[in-house]
Amino acid sequence: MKANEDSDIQLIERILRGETAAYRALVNRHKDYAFTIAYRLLNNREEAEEAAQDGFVRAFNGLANFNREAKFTTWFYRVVVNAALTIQQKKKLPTEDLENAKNIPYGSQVLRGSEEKNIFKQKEQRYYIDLALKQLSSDDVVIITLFYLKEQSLDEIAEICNIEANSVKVKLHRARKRLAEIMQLLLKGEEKNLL
Amino acid sequence: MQKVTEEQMWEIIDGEASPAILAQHEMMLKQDDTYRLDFERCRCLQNQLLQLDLEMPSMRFGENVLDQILPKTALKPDRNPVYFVLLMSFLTLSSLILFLFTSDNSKQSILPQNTEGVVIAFLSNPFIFNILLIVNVLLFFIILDKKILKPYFQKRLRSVNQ
Repeated sequence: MKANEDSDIQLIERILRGETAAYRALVNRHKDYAFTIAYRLLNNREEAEEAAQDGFVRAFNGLANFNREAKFTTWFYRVVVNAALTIQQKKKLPTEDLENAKNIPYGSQVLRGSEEKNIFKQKEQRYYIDLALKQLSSDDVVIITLFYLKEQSLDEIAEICNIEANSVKVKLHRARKRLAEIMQLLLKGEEKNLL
Repeated sequence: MQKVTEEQMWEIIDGEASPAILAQHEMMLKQDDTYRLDFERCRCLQNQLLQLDLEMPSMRFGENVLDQILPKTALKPDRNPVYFVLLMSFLTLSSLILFLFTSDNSKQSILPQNTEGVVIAFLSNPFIFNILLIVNVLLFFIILDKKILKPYFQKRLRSVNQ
């Protein structure tokens, strides 16, 4: 947020006074984060957009009841997570089979030069991390996503996930451990090449 | 030598480890190849997670959100005159009925004699009177529903959903 920009709370006050431009500003400020959270949970762009939009609409409808002493994003991300989980429950998403993941032929491309090799390596790393994230439970995905978005403190993550503050670190550790195990399973002997 | 646990490994990576654990970690890096590989694996995962970019929604995303919200707010000013007209019709008709049926000879009628006679004759017809009564009752219920009941139940539904 730039110094001359309104804070979230100031924008909310302007929205409640009937300024639609303020709502546009609030949407533009938080749409990427909202979409990222929803996308990590749903792994589908259309559904993630639907969830993020639903989150914004629910937030807009509930703005009058929002406690303005709290942090807006903590409340809002919780709304988005709930919207995404509702969509996920409606349509039980099939997770990609770990064996299908091996269809990407590691090292099968003809590589020319170190730059090309690096790009391929980055893409491959990204592919595997995305794939591993898809195998995690919703709770693990939400905690990892929120932690690595670096927007929320551990206490705020606890509030979003509706869990005790002191269990966030434990859950984060377990989620990362599971992620590491899945990555190991996915990469098997090829792991050293990706390190 | 006390081993550094995986949980402590993540504390080191997050920069939250105590000096004692860090010293232990340095020692194990030198002495234990398995530990070094495990630590490298966690550090690599950390880097990959840190490199995860924000996902961008479609260009129309913001507009789509506003489209869902703005009709509600935009319609409000348009609806207000409708409610105003409905309310005024209701009040006018009610006043007229009250005036005509409560007026006695001592009161000065504001209507010209001929007009008053026509209106009385018109309203004296039981069918017309019933129609007017029904219209007024309907208007009353419409306003009650739109202004009080519907917002109340929508608010309750939203609070239940959230």
